[in-house]
Parts: sequence; structure tokens; C-alpha cells
Amino acid sequence: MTNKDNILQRLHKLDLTDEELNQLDKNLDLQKELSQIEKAESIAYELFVPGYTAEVSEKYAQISKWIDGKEEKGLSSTLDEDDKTLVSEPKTIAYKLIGVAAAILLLAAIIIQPWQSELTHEEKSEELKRFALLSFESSGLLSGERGDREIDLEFKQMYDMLKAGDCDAFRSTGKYPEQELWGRLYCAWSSGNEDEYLRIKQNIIDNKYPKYEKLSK
Amino acid sequence: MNSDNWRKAIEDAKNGNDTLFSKVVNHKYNSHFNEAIAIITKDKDLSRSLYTTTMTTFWERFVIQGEKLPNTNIDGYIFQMAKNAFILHKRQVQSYKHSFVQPMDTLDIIQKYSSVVNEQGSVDHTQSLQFEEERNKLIHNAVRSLDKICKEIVEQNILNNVTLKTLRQELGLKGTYSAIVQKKKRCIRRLKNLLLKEFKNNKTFSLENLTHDK
Repeated sequence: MTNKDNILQRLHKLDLTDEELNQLDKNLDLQKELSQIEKAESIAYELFVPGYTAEVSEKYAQISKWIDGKEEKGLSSTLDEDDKTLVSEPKTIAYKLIGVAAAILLLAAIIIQPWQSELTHEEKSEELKRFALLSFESSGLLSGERGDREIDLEFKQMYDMLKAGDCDAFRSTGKYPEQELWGRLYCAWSSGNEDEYLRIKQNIIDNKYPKYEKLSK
Repeated sequence: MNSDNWRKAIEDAKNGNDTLFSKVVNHKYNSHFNEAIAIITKDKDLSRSLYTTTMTTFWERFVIQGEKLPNTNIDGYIFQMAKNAFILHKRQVQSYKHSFVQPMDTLDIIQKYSSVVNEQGSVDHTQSLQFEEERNKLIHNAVRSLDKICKEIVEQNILNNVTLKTLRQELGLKGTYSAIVQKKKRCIRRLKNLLLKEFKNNKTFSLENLTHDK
């Protein structure tokens, strides 16, 4: 491995110092070599630990939610003493006031119009699409985890259609109710079919499919 | 002082409990990183995205891959990671972000490679298209160059369709991703370097053929 390899591998891990970042040649063809590093790493992990790439992908989505505090309630309540010190400094009184005000606003928003008041139609559509794709990705079927290649391919086709936003081609087979309902929910919302959307939404909630609580707000 | 929370969160997460990790990720963003990263990016949405990328890489490296946490201030280190992520963003290395949000490229590649590996541990190219054949050759050359132990693990995973569930069962109830990855770390590192060598040595095969099945 050359020094450049090492620097690029460490850049991929976000591990360069300021000095090293400055040393990088601005005209360097990073795209190709970094893509090779990324692909070599993901193939190596996936061959030894099946499901690895899906796990990382899911964690990215989860962390995004954590940042908004959407998955955990009372996020600052169980931090240890160091961070309790942080939140008890004078400036945090302002945070607390903002927090209370935000909570009131959020409550009002929920009472007036669930979800729609927080997100635009397009944003909500993207959010539903993400939940739908996640239901596929976390199933284990895309990575062959359940071992039936024929079923996996059919399942993957449905996933690809959703990923491409191709609702016209997305058809229910009845074999994968959770994933199909999430997919249909996204399609109903994005096409503006509110009756269908409400019906499918209730179905998901009644079945308590993973992430159903996102719909019951 | 602040680093203690991170250290505890990482330890918990390695044992399969990321409750504290989620709380620290949220708290640090809202109390510090949202503003700190925005000073560099001048863009709040981008800052959020960079922090998400940074924390995913942080989790991957220190929870799953078991890298040792730096002895320096961890908040400072995370900020430095975010600066790295910003450099990558500025260079528009799109594939970087895609590694987090689009796992299907890699899964497609693995699935197609798996489908041509036969019981004898060699590949049957008649089943694949020309670019797939070339791609499968690259992967197979790298796998063949592994030592016996590592090679057998890959072959068993492929031929027996080993799943994450199976791997967890091997490690008992406490089988976490972190424990599974640790067990195979040496082989993973070796295969990664062999694959990189194959990619670089192959003059005629473009990266586009490696990553897109079109």
C-alpha cells in the first residue's frame, strides 16, 4: 500500500487530521479510488458477515431519527452526571424553556393535524417511502437471509420498484403483508389517494407492524 | 469528562444495547454539534446530514469494528471526523453517502457472485453476463488468494447460504454484530486488501461495471 492509499483509506474512515486534509492534492481523482475502497470494504464485510451493509444502512436511518429525538423519549433524562452538569448550566434554562415551548407547539400540532403539520406532502411522501424501503431491508430477504432465492428475487423486484418510486408497477402478492402494506401506504399517499391511505394506515396500526407507532402520532 | 459518556455508550452498544448511544447522539447534536458543524458548512441541513454520516461511521468503526477509541477528547475527534465528511462532500464523492443509504449494489454483487460459485469452490461463468463474469472473476481471484481458514468461511457462507441468524446462533444469545465482526476481522481486512489489489490491477474493467448492473 502506498501512502496515498493509506490516506484515502483513512479519509474513507473520516480519520484525517487538518494537516493531512490540507495535504490532499486538490486535483486528485478521489472519486474512483474512494469508490474502490468503499466497495472493497463492503463486499469483504458482506461475504464474511451476511447482512452487514443492510445493518449499516439501517443504522444511518436510525441515527437520523435519534438526532430529532423521534425514537427515544426523554433523551436527556438518563445521561450520567457529566452530561447532567452540562444541561444544568444557566444557558440550559433557556433550552428547557425552549423545550417546554416546543413541546406545547408539538402537542398543539398533533392535536390539530397529525404529521401533516410537521412535514410537507413531499417530505411525508419521502418519509413513507423510507419506512417502506426499511421494511424490506430489515426483513433479511434481500440479503438471502431466509435462504429461498426465488422468493428473494420476487421480493427484490418489489423493493426495486419502490426504490424507483414506480407505484404503477408495484403489485401486492399477499406473500409479504408488512412490506406490501408499507409500500402501498407510500403509493397511496404520493398519489393523493387519501381514503386508501387512511385504510392502509389503520391496517398497519392494527397489525402493529414495525414502526406502526410512527403513524399513530 | 464528556468522553466518559461516549465510552460507556460504546461499551453498551457493543453488548447490543444502544439506548445510551442514541441519547448521547441526540444530546451532543442539539447541545453542540449542530452549531459547531454549521460554522464550517454555513448550512444547517448539510450540517445535520454530515453529523448523521459522521455518527454512522463512528458507530461502524468503534462499535461494530471494535476500533479503539482515541485517547483525546472524543467530542473533538468527532468534530474532526465531521470535517473529513465535509471534505468528502465538497469533492462530491457521491458513492460515499450511497454506501449508507443504498446497500443494494453490494447485495446484488454478492448475490450474483454467490450464484455462480459451485460446490468445488470454483465459478461457473456460463451463467453470467460478460461484465458480471469479469466482476465475479475479480472477486473470485481475491477470495482464492485468502488463506485456507478465511477461504473456507466465505465458501461456507456462500454455499450453505449462511445467514446472520446462523452466525448469531454460533455465538449464543449475546451474539451481536460487533462480536461477529470481531471474530472475522482478520479475514475481512485481508479480503479488502486483496479486492483493492484486484480492482487496481485490472486495467480494462471500469468501476462503473463493478457498481452498476446495467
